[in-house]
Amino acid sequence: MKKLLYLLPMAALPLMFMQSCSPEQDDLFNDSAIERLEADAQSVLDLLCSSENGWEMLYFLNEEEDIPCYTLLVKFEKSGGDGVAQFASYSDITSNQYRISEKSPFTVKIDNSTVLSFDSYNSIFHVFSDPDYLGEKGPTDTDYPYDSGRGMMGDYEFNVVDHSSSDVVMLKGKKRGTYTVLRRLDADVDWQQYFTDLNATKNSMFTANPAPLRLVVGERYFHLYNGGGSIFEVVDGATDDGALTAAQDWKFVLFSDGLRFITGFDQDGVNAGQDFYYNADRTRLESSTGAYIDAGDPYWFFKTVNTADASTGNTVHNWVVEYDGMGATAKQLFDAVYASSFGQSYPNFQLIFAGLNGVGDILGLTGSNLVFSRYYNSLVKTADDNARTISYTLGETQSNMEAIYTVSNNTMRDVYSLFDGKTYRFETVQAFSMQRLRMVSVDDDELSFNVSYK
Amino acid sequence: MKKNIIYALLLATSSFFTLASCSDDEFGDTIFPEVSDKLDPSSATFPLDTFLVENYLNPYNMKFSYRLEDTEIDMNYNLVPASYEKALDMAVLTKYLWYDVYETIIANSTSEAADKFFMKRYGPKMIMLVGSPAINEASGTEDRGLAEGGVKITLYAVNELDENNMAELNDLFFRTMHHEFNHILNQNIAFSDEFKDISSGSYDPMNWQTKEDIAARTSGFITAYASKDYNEDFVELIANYVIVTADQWEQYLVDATRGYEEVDVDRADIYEARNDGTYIKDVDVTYDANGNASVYKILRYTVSRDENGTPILDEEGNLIYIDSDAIDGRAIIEQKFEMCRSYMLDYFGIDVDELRREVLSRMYVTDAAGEPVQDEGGNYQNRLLMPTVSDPSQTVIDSLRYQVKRFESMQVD
Repeated sequence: MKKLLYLLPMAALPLMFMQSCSPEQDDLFNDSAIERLEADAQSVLDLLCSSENGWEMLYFLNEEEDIPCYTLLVKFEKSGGDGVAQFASYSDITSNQYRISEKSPFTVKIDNSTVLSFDSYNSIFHVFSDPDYLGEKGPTDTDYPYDSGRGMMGDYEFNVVDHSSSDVVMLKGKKRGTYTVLRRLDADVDWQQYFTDLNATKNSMFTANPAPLRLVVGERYFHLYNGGGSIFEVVDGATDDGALTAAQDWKFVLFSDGLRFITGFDQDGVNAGQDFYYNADRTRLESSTGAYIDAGDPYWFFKTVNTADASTGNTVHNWVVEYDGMGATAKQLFDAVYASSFGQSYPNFQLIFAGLNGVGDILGLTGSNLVFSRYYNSLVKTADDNARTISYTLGETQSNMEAIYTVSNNTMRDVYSLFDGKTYRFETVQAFSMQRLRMVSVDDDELSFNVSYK
Repeated sequence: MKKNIIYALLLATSSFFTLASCSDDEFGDTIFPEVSDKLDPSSATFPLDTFLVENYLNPYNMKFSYRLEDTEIDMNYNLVPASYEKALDMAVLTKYLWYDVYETIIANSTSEAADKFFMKRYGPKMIMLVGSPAINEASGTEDRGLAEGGVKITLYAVNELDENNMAELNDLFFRTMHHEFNHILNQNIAFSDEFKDISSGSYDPMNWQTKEDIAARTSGFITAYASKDYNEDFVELIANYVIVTADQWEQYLVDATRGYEEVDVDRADIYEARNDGTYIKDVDVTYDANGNASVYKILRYTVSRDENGTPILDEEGNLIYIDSDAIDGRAIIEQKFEMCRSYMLDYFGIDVDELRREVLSRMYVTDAAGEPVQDEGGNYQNRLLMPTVSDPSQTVIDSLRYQVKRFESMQVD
């Protein structure tokens, strides 16, 4: 009986094998796995080469390192079974000038998924993964931003993670795991003009903009500082005093019609989304979450800049009143000054909001042979954070000003009266910039003028 | 016994059913799509690809890979691919200065050990080109080549190839080729334990990179890298021997008889330090807060000096060199090199002097005796830049490149 117990399982073995092949099951796919991978690779190659004017490449470098991200243009052309790629850039890696690369071979190949491999050197693209590229030299011979052996730690091989849209291809770096985006470029876009326009935007937003941008998410807002290197230093706007304390870095790139963060913006429990696109009037960038990025609050910035330092009485930066763009009321007063003998002698005079040691806030005169620390009227400034307005009354008149009042037939005194007992609100003049603001009297829209940051 | 037979029968029956049960399934020849090994004349890389098939794949069954493949490299390094143009140059120079050299030596060898299939038998099965050096972030060292498993050689920094600078070509590539190839020979036929014992107490695998080549010679190593371990020691001797002239080799041996020291020199004294006849090179610089060099660390010969630090000269006006390490570096290098010489001759029928003569004749303009000749400035003349005998209108490097470019006529759009 014991032997029989041993034999029974053995006897059942053939049945198990017979059963294993007996049911006829339809294949889930018509083609084998390798055939499907081959087909996918071919479709990626076809897609990449289908854009006759190439693609915008939003190239995000290593997430963990303090390394910028870049916008490139790339065009793919078929060559035999693979192709050649040509890049263009206007950035520090091309000596801050527009440059287009040679055509270099690339491969679309099969790995665990379809892989786009830039496996032959390209003089623009491979700078990012060159271990010998140390970046632009600093003050000393050894002062470079990147370490030898590391460089910018870029990828040259990418898993093609999504090409379901004919206009967008998502890539993921094989070594660093960072996502990069290819966006189909319109056929009529001139490559050099593309970068000219992008640089103009960057200049307006960052280089020539003395203020941080503002990211608004519902009731919360953040100040986005120093975006010139494609890494924002982000500070909670509600507590920001301009000192960049507790700033957190967020990488991003600009492209033709928007901005993309390296990952979805998520700070202090606030999720703002990853992609922001210019809206129709191009005064702000908007996310599908409802969040937006704009130039920020002109009242906050004017007040922050034009607040005399408590210890020295000076402000580092000042605001200059501009004649161009004045409202009728203000212009009439200034025209009277220009018509006076003072105006004839000092046609380039300007009014300037400044701070002065021992005096505090002042409204001074500046220009050729006019030094605002000698020709000024002190100001008493009252800021209303709720109304976002600033009210002025004139304080002590510096003695030298009396002579100017006289020589201008008191027309300059009338100009100064613009700021005596008047309350102003503030508006932005340029999209994404506080380089120039507009001050408008709350009582008279024509009592208005632009002030520029100095 | 009976039980065993029953088990066996049952198993046999099971097998029968197993086979029978699947016998009706239809399989194709392969699940993989058929891939043609014919090169595509519409490819941008067709000329180089064709050259590589004709000159490496067909005769040597060797894959010469110039497209960077992550599966073939160490992912811990940050690397870039070789450019097509530099890969082309490296492909023709590898043939000219490596494969063809050994083929010539073997063909002319009268030794019974010479194997007419030497390169096919011992040559690597894959040469991988990488555009950048492989820089070790921690140590700061740069790998210029790598031999793996006796079958694969990786050549780094290919994008730095400059045919106009033979000294740099030697330093970056040709020495590396011979170095790595000799690793493969050693991986096939081991050299003697006797060699390993000569410098066994002096190898420094952790700190070799902190030494200078010239200073390593006083300890009996031809280069600093040779002091890493006996494997590197062996191949560095051969690789360095075959790419330098007899005069240069003799200078290496003279270097091995001297002593060296590193000293700090203030900026104010650096001019004098660099011109007292003992200076070799700067090895480090310290900068002040303004970014100006303040202190230089220099490497110099150890010589007799007076109380002011000024070198003392002998009666003939020569420096008095001091080598206080009690090691006869020259004798050690010569002893080890003779073992290398015997190894190459005994096992492969290769005379290293003939090998060097062949290498040098391809690198430099040589005289009737096969010795490189110097120009008026005392420089050896780069043969790659010289006109060819058959067509004076083109240089040697042009003619080598033409071996690839001739396939451009077969390309189609």
